[in-house]
Amino acid sequence: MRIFLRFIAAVFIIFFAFSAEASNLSQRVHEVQLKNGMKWLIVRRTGAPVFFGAVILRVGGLNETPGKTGLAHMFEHMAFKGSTRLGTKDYDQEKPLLRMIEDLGELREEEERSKKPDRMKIEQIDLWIKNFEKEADEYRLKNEVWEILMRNGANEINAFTSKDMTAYYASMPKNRLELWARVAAEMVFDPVFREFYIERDVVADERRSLTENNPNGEMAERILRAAYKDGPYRSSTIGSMEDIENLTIADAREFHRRYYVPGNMVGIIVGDVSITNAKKIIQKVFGGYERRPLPEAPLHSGEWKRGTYERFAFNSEPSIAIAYHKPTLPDKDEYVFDVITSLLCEGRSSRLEKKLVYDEKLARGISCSNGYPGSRLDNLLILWIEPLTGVPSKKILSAVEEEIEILRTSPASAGDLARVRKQVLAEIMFALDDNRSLGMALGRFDAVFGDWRILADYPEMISAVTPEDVIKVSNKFMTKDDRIVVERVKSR
Amino acid sequence: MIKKFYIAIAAAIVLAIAFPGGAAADSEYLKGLEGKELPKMTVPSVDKVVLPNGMTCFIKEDRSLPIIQIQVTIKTGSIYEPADKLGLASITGSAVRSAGAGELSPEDLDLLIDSMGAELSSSIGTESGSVYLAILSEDMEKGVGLLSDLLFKPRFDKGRVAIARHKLAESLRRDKDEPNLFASILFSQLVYGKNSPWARRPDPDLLTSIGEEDIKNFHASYFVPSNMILAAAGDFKTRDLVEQLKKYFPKESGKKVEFPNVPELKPSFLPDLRVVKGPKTQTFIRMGHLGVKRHNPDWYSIYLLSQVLGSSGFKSRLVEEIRVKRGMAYSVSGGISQATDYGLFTVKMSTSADNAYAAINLAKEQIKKLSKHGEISDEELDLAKRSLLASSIFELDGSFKIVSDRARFMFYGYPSNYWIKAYEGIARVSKDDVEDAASKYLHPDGIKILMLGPTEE
Repeated sequence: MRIFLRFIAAVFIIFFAFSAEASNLSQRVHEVQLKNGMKWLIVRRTGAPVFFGAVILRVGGLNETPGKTGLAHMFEHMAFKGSTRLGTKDYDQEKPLLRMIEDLGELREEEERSKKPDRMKIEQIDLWIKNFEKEADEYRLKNEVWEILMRNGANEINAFTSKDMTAYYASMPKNRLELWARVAAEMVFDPVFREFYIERDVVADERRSLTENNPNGEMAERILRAAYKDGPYRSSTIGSMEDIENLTIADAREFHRRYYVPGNMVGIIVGDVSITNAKKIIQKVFGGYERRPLPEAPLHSGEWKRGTYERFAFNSEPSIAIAYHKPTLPDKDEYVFDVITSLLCEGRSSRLEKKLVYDEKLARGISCSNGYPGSRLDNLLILWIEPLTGVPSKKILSAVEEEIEILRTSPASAGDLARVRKQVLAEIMFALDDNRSLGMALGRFDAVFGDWRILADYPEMISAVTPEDVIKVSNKFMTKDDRIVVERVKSR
Repeated sequence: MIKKFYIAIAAAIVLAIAFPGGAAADSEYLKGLEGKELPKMTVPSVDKVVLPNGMTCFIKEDRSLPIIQIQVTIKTGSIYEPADKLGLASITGSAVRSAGAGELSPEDLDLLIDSMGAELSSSIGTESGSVYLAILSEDMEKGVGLLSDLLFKPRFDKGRVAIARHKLAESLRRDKDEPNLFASILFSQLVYGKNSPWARRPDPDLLTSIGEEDIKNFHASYFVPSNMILAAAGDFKTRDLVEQLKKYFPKESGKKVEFPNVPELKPSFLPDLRVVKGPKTQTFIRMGHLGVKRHNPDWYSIYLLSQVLGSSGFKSRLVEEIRVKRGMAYSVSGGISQATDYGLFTVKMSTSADNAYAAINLAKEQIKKLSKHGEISDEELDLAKRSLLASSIFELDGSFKIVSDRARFMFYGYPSNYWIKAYEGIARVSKDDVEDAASKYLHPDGIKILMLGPTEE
């Protein structure tokens, strides 16, 4: 115990020493603003002769319109199919075939949407599409984007789509910076929608593995439907099966035209690169695209449901989720919610984990997610609990409620808040240790919150949170009446 | 979601590619950008120190950030469990961290670790155990002290041991909830045998037979300094770290560890099919047979064979045939792994249930084609080799990665410059070598198939 007491006293001193380290970040990030509106963030990190590069778009599931859920993600898959210059031996020959496929796809979609779809006709169209794809294959270099990056030493090539953003990234040897930049530019500025309808089947299969065959994925979708009456945060990023199966090339093209504009993009380079050289390359490769109007984005996540309780059966062990509606940045309450999340769920001494897992032995584990399903709009804090076999959900709910009541009524101790601050700092320090995690953190803050500097100021903002803030915010947002509960019970 | 800002929250994010990260078209657009010679891999300097107690330490100073990572690897594992105490290794592994240590009760230990913003974890797997510490360098000495307490003075508090037991039981029950994991478990039991030390699983209802005494004995048998390898990197002076290790870790090397005899596998290649009812609309498929042992002289050829077949993403055969051409599956991959007593050759896929048999047949066709001589093109081997060699520098892109590699090399008996050996090994492989490996190590007539899906046998 002696060690422990001495330690608490030391926390504050250490904290300020590290704070300097974190704010140092501001000086290390070189920001480049291109004339067309595209922003780049470059950080030099010496060490291995490699870099992490990403192009991040401020577009995601939240930009989709009803009936077209899953489109942002579908588009992301298409970006790997090449451009007018990549993935083709002769684009002029391929182009008319692609045009045919696109028109047929529209025809099929029309038929599907008609009052009495003619199945024979749809099958015939599918067959035509298949034949044109085959013919177009003669002119294609399949997966050339992937291949070029791989043979030049890419360590990780991938992309992801969330409700808030879409990111394309790779890690490469340092003297492949221009190569990567050119390939990335093709992907985001000049995608050609090859093999669209085959890829749509792949995405449909991806959905199957994320939801109906995955108890936690299914639960995540149900939480959103239990929390929102409508709006962009009501659906999952992958989209509904019905919508996915009816996406067309024209949808993807329109989505690209509207959202993939330079001003909606932030590029990231972190690694062993020369800043001057990187700036030159960026200017050369990305500077030529023309400025286009910025798209509008929704301002609200959807109409909130309050006090919902939902139970569903699944062929799996039980699970319980408790969700609270909450604001996001620039509302400063967001920082308070991060502190609350830490107090409740970060580490084994955190309040909920200690109580549910160790003291009362009710659950196998608990995890909390602040900012589900995204952070550009007001969102949810979710407490997700896996009960031990035989423990009734009522017991879990009342144990959690006891802890939330303490949050609402008793001020957090100085030791509690010191712990949270230190955890935040350590987390940032470890994130800085890796090109990718630093790059993605910068990119995410810039795309989601509008400014990467929020990351540099983050430790300071967390330290500014007071015990009174925690009481005020938890009373405002975490009431028993407003909480949303989704319970999964075992069906077998 | 400000916090956890660099960790993807599982369900909120949808990736383009579900497999790990595979000739040249002369694109005008990229001309001249591929010519430059790629950065060369050079063996990084690492301090190797053997403590008086016999523990080997691989240490690398890295003062770029105020952080430290230390991992201790212990030779132990579930293969050494008595058959009537399955789960003993896993429970011991988690109780080392969770059940108190040295002067600290479990609660005080938890609080201390969280108060430092540190991560301290422990686990025991099939043939190795580890304790991992990540901490700000200001707290280094406290961290080293704690690490020593966990390794050598765990308290195995009764209440916490009971919790470790029922947490394991609960997680075993929940294996079924993750079809990808569950299919792999069932497949390895199909190949190795249900009771094989390499594949057996504890029964969640029988863990109660494992008591504190069992755990204390299991711990005492393996957690001795001479049976451990330490890897450390970060913001310290090597000299200071070594001094602290000497100060806090035991002075004696401890008794010699005696490992129970683990029966050797007798390889056989007989076809089999097992159909298990599970998920609603997808069938999770595993197909294959035994792979190879570690230190197999043909390993690099086998590794490239895996790349060509299904381990190098979009350009590998299984992915091209099943995903790219036909859109039948989002997730498909395959390859041969090595392990102490045989790894696995596995093809992994999940498809909509009505495509399952078609996908299996396509995969079988590809395996058969490869196993017959003379089917590999220069282009595909060249791409596989080039991408592996060109990306090899990423093996060395972090100080902790480097020291933990060194520890792993030692643990499995590889030379200390294995990075270079592997590079040269890959570079030497010819088309003939891969074709030979394909006919030698793929057994298209001996494929076992596991289907976890909506229908029963």
